[in-house]
Amino acid sequence: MPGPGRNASQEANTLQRTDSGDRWYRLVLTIAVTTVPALLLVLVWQLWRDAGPAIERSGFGFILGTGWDPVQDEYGAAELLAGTVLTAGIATGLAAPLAIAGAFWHEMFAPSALRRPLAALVDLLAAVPGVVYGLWGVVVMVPWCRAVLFPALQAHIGWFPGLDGIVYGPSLLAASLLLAVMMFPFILVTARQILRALPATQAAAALALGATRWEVARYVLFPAARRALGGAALLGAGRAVGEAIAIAMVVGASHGPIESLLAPGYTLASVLPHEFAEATSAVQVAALSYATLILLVVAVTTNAVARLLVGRSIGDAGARR
Amino acid sequence: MSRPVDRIGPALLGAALLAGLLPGVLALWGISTRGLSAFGAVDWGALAPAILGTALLTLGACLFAVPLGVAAGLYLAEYPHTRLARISRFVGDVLGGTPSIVIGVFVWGWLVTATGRFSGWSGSVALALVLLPLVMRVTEAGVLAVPVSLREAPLVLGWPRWRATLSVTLRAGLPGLSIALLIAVARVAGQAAPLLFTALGNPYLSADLREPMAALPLTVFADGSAPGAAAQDRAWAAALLLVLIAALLGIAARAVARREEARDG
Amino acid sequence: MGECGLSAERVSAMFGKRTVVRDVSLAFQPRQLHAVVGPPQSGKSTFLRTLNRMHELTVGAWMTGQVRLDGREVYAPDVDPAALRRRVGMVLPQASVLPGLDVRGNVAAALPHGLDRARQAQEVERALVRAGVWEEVKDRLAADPRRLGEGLRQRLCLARALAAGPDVLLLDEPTAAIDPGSGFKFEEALYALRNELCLVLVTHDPRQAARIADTTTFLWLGAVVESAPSRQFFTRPVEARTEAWLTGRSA
Repeated sequence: MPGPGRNASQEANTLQRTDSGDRWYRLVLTIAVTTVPALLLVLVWQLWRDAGPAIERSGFGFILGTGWDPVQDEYGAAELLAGTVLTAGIATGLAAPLAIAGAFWHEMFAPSALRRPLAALVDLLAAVPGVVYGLWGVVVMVPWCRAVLFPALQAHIGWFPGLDGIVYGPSLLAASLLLAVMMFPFILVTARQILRALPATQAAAALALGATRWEVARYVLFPAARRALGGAALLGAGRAVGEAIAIAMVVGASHGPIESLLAPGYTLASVLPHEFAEATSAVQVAALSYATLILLVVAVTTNAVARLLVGRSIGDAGARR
Repeated sequence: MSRPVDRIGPALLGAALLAGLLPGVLALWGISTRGLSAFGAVDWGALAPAILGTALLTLGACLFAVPLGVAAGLYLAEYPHTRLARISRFVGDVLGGTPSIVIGVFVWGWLVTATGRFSGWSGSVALALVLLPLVMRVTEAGVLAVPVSLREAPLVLGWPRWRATLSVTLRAGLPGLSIALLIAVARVAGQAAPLLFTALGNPYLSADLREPMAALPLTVFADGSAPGAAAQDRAWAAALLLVLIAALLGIAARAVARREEARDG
Repeated sequence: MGECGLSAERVSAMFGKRTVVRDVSLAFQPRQLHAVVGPPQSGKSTFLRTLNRMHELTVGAWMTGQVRLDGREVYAPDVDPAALRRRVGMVLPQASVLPGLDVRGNVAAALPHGLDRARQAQEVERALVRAGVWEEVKDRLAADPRRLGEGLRQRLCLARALAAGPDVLLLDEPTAAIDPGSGFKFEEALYALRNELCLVLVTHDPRQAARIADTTTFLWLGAVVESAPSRQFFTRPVEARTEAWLTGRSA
């Protein structure tokens, strides 16, 4: 007998296409997903337009040009770029090794009672907004640096390039240190995800053969994850490049050639909160937009290379499972 | 049978972890103590515009980004092999890696100059642009995390794809998805950079999104650098509020994750 | 209904460049239980999934050949795959519970729209009876199916598949993941269903086929080795490879 709700005449046509719901469904979803590339195109186009006057004036020379003079309306992004590279580089150089080592410890050697609380703590640190780190930086960290850390550095390793000069407090080094504090939890979370995504078979086999956990970590896991972990560090660097607010609060806000890490400075991102709102001339606004464009390219490139290294095995460190 | 290196190695790793955690923990400590004392001293009336502003701006951002992002994420999960999916996934990554200050400058040039005013709406749009790639990625991951047998079960009954995905797959993945969305929203609520040149900030209590609007992150930024105890109190109180929001949502996320784990066994 | 047969002509199934099912031609007569057996990775499940157009849902999967339901080609461009699956049902290897629905709701989800409440309850009961679980769940219709044992859940999935009123029922290793007791009850229900439906059962357990199937087909590395009425298949297999597998001499 036919199934419920079907009579003989419907039998013949039961294979025919009936429901157009799926077509609407696909249409709605397609429209939604198309807005994403569309938005990016609009973003790039808009920035390009806003930067227009500056691009016309200086062309690519803007990237290599030094000096930032609102009075004369002469702008060059080289010092900003150098500031960005320096701060991001120092921050990653400090944070990444500690974070990756910490991730190994967490995954391989942490006692089980500690694992969850530790993960919760790191997640919390990663979730603190940049502006809050910036506040702590300007009120607590920078005064301490000026009073304690920087003089100590000058006293003990003052021969190191960049550590000479007057100790101001707000400086490129302070910005680098704050960035390092901010990057550490982020890189750690990413590194842990990478380690967890490794196939467990090799490690399990090695352990079964009598290798110690240290040997497994050092000779099995680390070589396998090395490339992806480098990507994790680079992802951190990408975030550091884009950090504007926290850096703006501790970097000292000063243009000019970089003579010392202990002197105030600027990065591509941190110049914007300070100057964009008070830009006096259209040329300045255009120059700032141009700087924004350069920042976009640097950040996106860094992240793209990082993602290539990491592969698609893990998701975004912020949007956890 | 442990040799010295088997003990020193892990000890070094642990020491590295401690070294890295120490500044962060000190920061948390400093934020908590100063924030708590600020809670007692601050004029909550002066902070009210920022609290209301953050709530409204975040709500507005969700209004734009959540439907769009979920639909886009569903597309990525349902038709992953199309060229559009590959492009959009890549662009989503690019957008997700875009510094939020860049998005602020973009929305300024796009909306603020066009409308001639700073407004809560443009601030919401800026926040929405930061939120969108997160929502998209989280939705795609959430759908793919549902076991294949559950995704196929309605299909073998002859249900159309839209009904199968919406009534079964999305429903099944909803707990994890909601929590991930909340975490993404909390992250966006703490963003100051997109709001600097869009919502701008407002000292007065206002729910009018067509006017400039205050927000907690803006308070932290502006009052944090301002002199005077009142400003500092506002800044620290706002900062602690933001951290508490993030912490509470993190706890909720863990609780839900543990409950899901226990149930699936 | 009941007179509907399914046939596959020169069906090959591929995942990208990998061919998993090679040139399989089989006819499944109505009112019989047909078993498809073979070692793991022999393409049995993949073949089964070409019959109700589930195979094509996997990214990169494609097939060649023809599949006919009651003479009608199911891969024709004017055929709605969802409509096809209402007539060719399937029980998946893992029992799955539709979220947010109780036992009754899970079975009723398979019913077409527009039935009134009384009719719905009637059809749900009928499906549960045909699946052989009515006695066990009739007092628990409002229960959360996730609290039931795995075996009972799978039999519930059988009821759900039956509620859709299919002419053909495909079963993909339905008892592989449940306890033997529930497995036997499942087999009993299938055996009784032979009078009403065309059933195609994929199983890795030849004894299951020997117990309940009318015909048995041996698939090895994606190709048909032998297909015969079960009695002949198990007592006097023609092919050497079949015999080797039955007696456990090959992988």
